[in-house]
Amino acid sequence: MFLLRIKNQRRKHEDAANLKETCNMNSTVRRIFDFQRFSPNAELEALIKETEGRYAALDDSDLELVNAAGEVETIFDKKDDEQ
Amino acid sequence: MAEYVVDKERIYIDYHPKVMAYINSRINNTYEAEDLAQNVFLKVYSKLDDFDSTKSSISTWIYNITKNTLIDYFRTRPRDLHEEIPEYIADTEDTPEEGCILEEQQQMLAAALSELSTVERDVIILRYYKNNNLTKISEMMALPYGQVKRIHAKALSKLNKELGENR
Repeated sequence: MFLLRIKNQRRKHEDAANLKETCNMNSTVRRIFDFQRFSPNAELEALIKETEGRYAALDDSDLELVNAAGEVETIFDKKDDEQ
Repeated sequence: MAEYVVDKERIYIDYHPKVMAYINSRINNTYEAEDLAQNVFLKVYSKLDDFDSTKSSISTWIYNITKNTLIDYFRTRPRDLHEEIPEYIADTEDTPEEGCILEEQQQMLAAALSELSTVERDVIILRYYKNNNLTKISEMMALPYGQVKRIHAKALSKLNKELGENR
């Protein structure tokens, strides 16, 4: 019983560490991609273009910038649904 | 201070397109974007004496000023238009060292993404560059949500390993 409790506690710590790591990686990748919008890296740009090319017809995220009245809208990060 | 930095005209010529591209990627109003860009350069010129080229590249320094100007813009917008400031912008602290790191990390991320499978790479780019949520990505890729979620987790874990090792 005691060992089981220790094992569970260890798993909780590991899960928490993994979650923290994932969150850190989320924000790291976001920051790099945000900087990419300012100062494009050629290799990264090529990969982005490749992906965009595959899904261009289906990606309406850019259209969401303009509202029905044609007024300013901003690109906001859509609500995370994976967390 | 580097000679390059003192040359305000040179800075404007080199960085105005970058500043505009960044702002335009975040808001879709040409007039406001141009106003914001002008604000950015007013700040850049007024703070030139504070710029330390040993701590940050000029590119990153201007990027941080642009980002902060954009955050101020989001904060001061009329209430009915106001939405949450993107977390990835708002939570980024202006550490001078970040700049050099970011430029290196771009290269590292490109290399790490190249190691991923096409599907994994697409999920990461659609999620973090195109800012789509996983539901939307699953529609775009015509894959079940659960599968996209697994691909996302696996890809992030691989990136963590690749970028973590090189950090």
